[in-house]
Amino acid sequence: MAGDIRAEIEELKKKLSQNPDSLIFVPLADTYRKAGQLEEAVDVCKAGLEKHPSYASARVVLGRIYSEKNMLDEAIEEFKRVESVDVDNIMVHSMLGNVYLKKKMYAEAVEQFQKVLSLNPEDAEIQEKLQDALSAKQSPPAKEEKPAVQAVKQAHEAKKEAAPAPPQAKTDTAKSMKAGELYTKKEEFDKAIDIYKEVLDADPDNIIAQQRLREVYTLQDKKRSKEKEKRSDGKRIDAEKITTEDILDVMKEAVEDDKVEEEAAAKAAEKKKESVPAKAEEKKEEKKELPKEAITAEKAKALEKILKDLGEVDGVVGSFFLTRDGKIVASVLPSTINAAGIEKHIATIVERTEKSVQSMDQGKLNQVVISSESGQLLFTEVLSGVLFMIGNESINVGKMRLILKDVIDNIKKVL
Amino acid sequence: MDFKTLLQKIVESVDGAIGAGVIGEDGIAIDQFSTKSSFDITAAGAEYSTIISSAKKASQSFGLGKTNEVLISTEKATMIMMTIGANYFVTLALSLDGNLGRGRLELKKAIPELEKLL
Repeated sequence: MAGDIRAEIEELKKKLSQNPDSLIFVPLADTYRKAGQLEEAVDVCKAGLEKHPSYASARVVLGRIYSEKNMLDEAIEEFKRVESVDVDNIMVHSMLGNVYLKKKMYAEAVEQFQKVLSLNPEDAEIQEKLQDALSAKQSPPAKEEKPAVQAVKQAHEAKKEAAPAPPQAKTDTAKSMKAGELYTKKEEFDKAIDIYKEVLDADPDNIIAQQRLREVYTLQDKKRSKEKEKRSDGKRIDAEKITTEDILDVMKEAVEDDKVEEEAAAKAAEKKKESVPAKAEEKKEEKKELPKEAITAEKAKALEKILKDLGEVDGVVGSFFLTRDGKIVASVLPSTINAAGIEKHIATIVERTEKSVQSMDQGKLNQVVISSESGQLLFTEVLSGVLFMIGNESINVGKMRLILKDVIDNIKKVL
Repeated sequence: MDFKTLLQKIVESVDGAIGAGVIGEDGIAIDQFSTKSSFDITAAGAEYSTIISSAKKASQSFGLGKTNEVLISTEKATMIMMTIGANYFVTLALSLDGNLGRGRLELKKAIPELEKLL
């Protein structure tokens, strides 16, 4: 084993010397760490970080080395740097939690372990560590054995400093439910959703809260579609209030039509040259730069029709189409999924994946399929937007990809 | 059997496979095997782990539970990633004409063995 590690170190060193600017210094530093050569590990990592200061993985490795060297403050500093740019880095939260535990900073450890569990609730090891941190933090022993969910619940309470007794918790739930009702009546759906989610965080089996949350989502959806209709009606009727976006809409539609009629195309090209010369070429190349307003109400309706048809396919739970900036323009989703609440989040995920693919020099991202325990998620770029499709367990990857082919063609026709 | 042998077996039994690797959630590659010198999973590990973490988040957002597999097709290649436990994943990169079905099957078959090694 020792020989293996030594050989690995030699191989990595050789690679690094052949290409000193490469990122190979990270595995080399980590291998030194595994071999117990912590000084060498620090040196390699620091030297690499001078060339690649924003390389998060290197900071994680350096933090880990510091942690093993018992340089806990330095370790925290490195992990915190990564955390500040990657808030959902599960490994960093876990390592920070461990370092805080070592430093007996239990409240901070609880917070970090809680973050890990919010990203991966099934991590048994972290559940155990959270329990340890909690019991160390709260000196009076509360209960003997608690299931994982309750541990997370306790972490939420611990964060608020005081640990409320169970009867108090009941009154709090009642109050929250009341507040949720009031916000729903006032049509402040986001606040109501937050409250019910909080109740469900503490008590995931609360059927009433589940039911209310579903109702709020439905009401919110209805409100949003009404607003959408109003907006599109307003656009048509109120000619005096034409905005620049509307003008762009009309221009873009005109350009589309012009593609069919050659004469009109010539005129449109001239006009474009006069007003916005640069944009004409961008438009021809790809529609990526189209603003979200380019998808008019009519197009959105047509997209919704396509998504509705898609929803008829056995195994397809829902779908939606969003613009590059994360605005959902058409969606057919069950009431249990609140598209509005996740749109920005989803746009970030798409962007991150695209960036990763590009930095691996793999060209343009075509399609991503995520298979999970209870279903599949597929997203693909279609001209100016991204199509998402959610399937249940009964649909397989192959079928999803096949269905999608036709759907993409239809969406392209609409756009 | 060690990681490299196992990864080599996977790559060699799938048409169009370029390389395979076992990577930790933190982006640190444990081992890799590739048929092309240009394919360096060790360097790409951080990117792969970003993708897996994004996929997990997306999956959670839709209440789909634990992520088992991520399939990415790009202009140049297809990548399959399958999770091994909570902290690791195995990845296989294929050329555009690679046998995707076979690749998924071989990875699935290898997971129990990889779990034992981790």
